[in-house]
Amino acid sequence: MRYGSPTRRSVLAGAAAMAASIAMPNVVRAAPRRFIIGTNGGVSYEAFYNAILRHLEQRHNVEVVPVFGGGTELMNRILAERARPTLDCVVTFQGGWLIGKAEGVLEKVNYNNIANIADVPEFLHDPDGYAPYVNLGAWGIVCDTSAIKVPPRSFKALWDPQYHNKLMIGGISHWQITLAAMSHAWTGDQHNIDVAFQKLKELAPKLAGFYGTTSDALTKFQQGIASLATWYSYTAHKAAQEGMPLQFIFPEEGAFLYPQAYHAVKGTQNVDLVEKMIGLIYDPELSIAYARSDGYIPCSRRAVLPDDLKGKILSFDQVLRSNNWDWKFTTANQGAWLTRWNAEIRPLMRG
Amino acid sequence: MRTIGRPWGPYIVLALPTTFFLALVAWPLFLLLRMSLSVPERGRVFGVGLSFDNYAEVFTNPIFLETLFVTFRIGCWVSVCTLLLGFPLAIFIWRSKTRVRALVLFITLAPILVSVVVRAYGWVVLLSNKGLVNSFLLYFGIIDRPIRFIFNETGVIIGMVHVLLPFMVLSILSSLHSIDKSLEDAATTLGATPFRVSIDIVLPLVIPGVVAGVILVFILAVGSFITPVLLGGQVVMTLPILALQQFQTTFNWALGSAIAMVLLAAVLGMTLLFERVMRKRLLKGVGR
Repeated sequence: MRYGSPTRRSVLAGAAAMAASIAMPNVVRAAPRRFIIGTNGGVSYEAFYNAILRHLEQRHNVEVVPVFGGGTELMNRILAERARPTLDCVVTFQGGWLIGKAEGVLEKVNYNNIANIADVPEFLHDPDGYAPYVNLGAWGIVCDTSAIKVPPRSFKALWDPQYHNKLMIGGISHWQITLAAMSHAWTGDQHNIDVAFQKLKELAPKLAGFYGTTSDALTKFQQGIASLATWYSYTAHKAAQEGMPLQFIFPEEGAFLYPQAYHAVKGTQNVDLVEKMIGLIYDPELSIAYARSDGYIPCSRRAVLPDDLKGKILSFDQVLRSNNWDWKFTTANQGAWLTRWNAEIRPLMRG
Repeated sequence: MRTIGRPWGPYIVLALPTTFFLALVAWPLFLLLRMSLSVPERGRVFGVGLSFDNYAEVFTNPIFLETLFVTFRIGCWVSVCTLLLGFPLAIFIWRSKTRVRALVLFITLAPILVSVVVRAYGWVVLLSNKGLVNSFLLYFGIIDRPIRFIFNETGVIIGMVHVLLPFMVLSILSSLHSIDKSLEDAATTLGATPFRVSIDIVLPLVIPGVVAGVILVFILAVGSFITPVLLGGQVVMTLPILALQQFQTTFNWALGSAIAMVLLAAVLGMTLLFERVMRKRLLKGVGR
């Protein structure tokens, strides 16, 4: 049997085949993991991606696939998909995640796997072992400083005649938190809802209007339809970044904390990625960058706000002086409140 | 003799849309119906058991009934206004033989090319208290304080008429195009004036298009969500908004589903009634 002598081509081909066979496992290993995350869209996502998700992709070889929606919309989605979930992680607000826990569609996380968690105060941990709070915002008074020369310093001041026809409050949503906050402002207890209804009945005919979505509120500020709103610190911050003369006012009664959490969806294989992402959000350096772009209060004790952000982002001292909504109470009663709101408050608005 | 097999072609062609309808329309509707008949459980989304409580809640709560009435009132106004604007527009487009026809047709259909949200915000910019229209009227002293055009029912109707006008025009136009021109010529030859031709020949033949347009616009108007939210300022409450509040803010899917089913049934009922009445009138007209 005769064998041909090895040619240069056959040697090179053999070497290439050997290199490919050695490298293949690494190539396979290098394929990024897909991480499907339900989160807020638009400029919020842009800021979130640049401050946090970009680092998650780079450091942990992940491909983030966003699915956009609001908190309740995404919670409804994972409830509807409970038999066959398509999301790994979902952003929720406090009322939503109580529903998610009750319905068993959320997965617990291991706090030992979350980087920087030691620097996060205990009250931001979930008592049942689900994801801790991130995206800490506050709900208070937002003022258009170009139109209001003497801003109100408390929720109660919103009843002052000088603010008549200037204030807008949440209409289609946010009505339940408005009720609880006004109950707290007038009685010191957020559970006295009858008092809140009574006070809001006085205020409703003097309101400039209701707002629905964030863009709706922004349009009404821009059009001069309203120059005051009971609204969020981070949305005011983002609008101010865009050049709108909006300022968040921390009311004397204390603002209300409005935290969000990125929860792992029940059944996901990527709980570890959720833990890694939360760890990045708590990273002092990244959380400052995130605060700068999206207005969220850094949750880490080690995150020190630079001078240019002081006064624009709420300090941790203000966070500690803020109130928490009783979401269990709200969730249990909001059905009845909604009927009353539609019957008693909405018709008093000027149409 | 050559045997011809059973004509399976039409069935195969029908299979795809039927499957589509059953999977994506009928099945979700059945789920909605089932959900509306469940007992809502506090703190949980999906109800349990079988109950008519949600329907009892809908029909005994004055807010729901008032909202149903407001929704239908808006639907009727929008249908009437689009008909009043759309009918002459369609006639003009049909009759016109100049280049203006293409321009008018483009302007009429242009709203379809723009997002509903953008259109609604466009109206906010135009009609708000500090908007262009009020600024113009105030500047020329025609009014001494701004007119509240939006964030009330008027605003919702204005916005919806703009959104839905193309549907009315297209519907009427399709009927007009099916009219045989020789009928008009015959009537004219027999001495009928243009007015008589319009009333006795064109109008009866265009009625099916008008009926279809009114039904289409009414259905779209009562089911509309974005325009009423943005131009009604959440002061104007319609059934879709009420249903969404139950789904999105209180997570009461059972009650939200019941509201959606009531809306669906009411729209179907009104549409069938309107269609039947109009058909009787038409048949009477043909008999005459």
